[in-house]
Amino acid sequence: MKLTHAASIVMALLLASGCAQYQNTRGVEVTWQASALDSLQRGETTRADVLALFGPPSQVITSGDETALYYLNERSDGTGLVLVVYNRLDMATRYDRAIFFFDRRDRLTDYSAVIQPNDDVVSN
Amino acid sequence: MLARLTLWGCLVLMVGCSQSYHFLGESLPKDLDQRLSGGTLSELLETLGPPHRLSSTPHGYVMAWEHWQIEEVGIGVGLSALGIDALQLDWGDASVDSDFILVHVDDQHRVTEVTRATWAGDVSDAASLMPLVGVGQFMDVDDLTEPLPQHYWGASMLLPLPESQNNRWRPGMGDTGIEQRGTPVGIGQRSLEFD
Repeated sequence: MKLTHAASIVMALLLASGCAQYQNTRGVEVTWQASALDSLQRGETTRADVLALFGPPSQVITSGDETALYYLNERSDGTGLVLVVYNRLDMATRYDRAIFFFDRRDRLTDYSAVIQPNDDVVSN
Repeated sequence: MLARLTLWGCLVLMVGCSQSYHFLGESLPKDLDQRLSGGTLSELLETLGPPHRLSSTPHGYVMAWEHWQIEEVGIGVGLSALGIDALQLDWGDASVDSDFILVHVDDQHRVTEVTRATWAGDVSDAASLMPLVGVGQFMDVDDLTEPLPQHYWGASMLLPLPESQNNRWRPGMGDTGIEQRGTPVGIGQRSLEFD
C-alpha cells in the first residue's frame, strides 16, 4: 500500500515533467560559403555577379553613389527542461551574415561574410 | 511513513523555480578601439565580420556589433499543486550582460569613430502575492530578444499602425540610423510610435 502511494507520487512527477526543443530561422538562405566567395574579385566583380551568386539580399543600403547588399540569416535554437519544481530554458541565437559594398560603377570594393558556428570569416 | 512521504511530496509540488537563458550573437574581441581607429573598412570587416546593424549616413555608414546574454530567474510558491487555486507567491529577476560596438565609417571607407558600451546588471525584477487567481506575464524581456530589424525591411509597410506611419524615421530601415536593443518607443525617431 505504502509502495503504491510512493509510486503514485513518483509517477505523477514523471508525467508532469517533460522536455522541449525549439528552432526558429529567419532571413535569407545561407549561400555565402567560403567556396562561393572565392570567385569574388575586388574591383572586378559587379553587383549583378553577386546577386546572381547569392540571390536577393535581406537589405539594400545606399550611401551617395555607393550601394551595399546585406544578407542575414538568423537562427535560434533552444532546449527546455520541465521538471515541475525546476524548469530551464536555454536559447542561443546565431547570425550568419554577409555584406558587399559596390562603388558608383557597381564594382565590388569591400566584402565580408560570417557563417557560424565555425567562425568562418572571409573578408576583403 | 506514508503520511511523511505524502507531506514531502506536497511540499515539493508547492514550490517551483525556472531559469531562462538567452544568448544572442557571438562574443566580441577585446581592446578594439586602438586597433580600429583610423583604419579602413576592409580592416574593420576583417576584424569583426559583417555588422549586425547597418545604416547609411549623409557621409558614410554607421555599423554596430552586439553580443547579449540574458538570464531570467523565477521562483514561485503556491497551493495549485494541491488543487487549491489560491495563495500564490512569486518572485522573479532578469539580468543582462551585453556588449555593443558602434563604428562610423566615412565615404572614403575610413573608420572615423569607434565607441563601445557594456551593460551588466538587472533589467527587470518582480514580486507578486496573489490571494486568489492571477494570470499574467511576470517579467518582460521580449524587447531584448526580438529579431534584428533587417527582417522587417521588405515588410515594413505591412506593420500595424502607428509603426508603418513611422517607416521614414524608424531606425533599422537601412538609411534611418540604428538603435540598440531595448530602446523604448515613444522617444526620438520613434516618437510617432508611442502607443
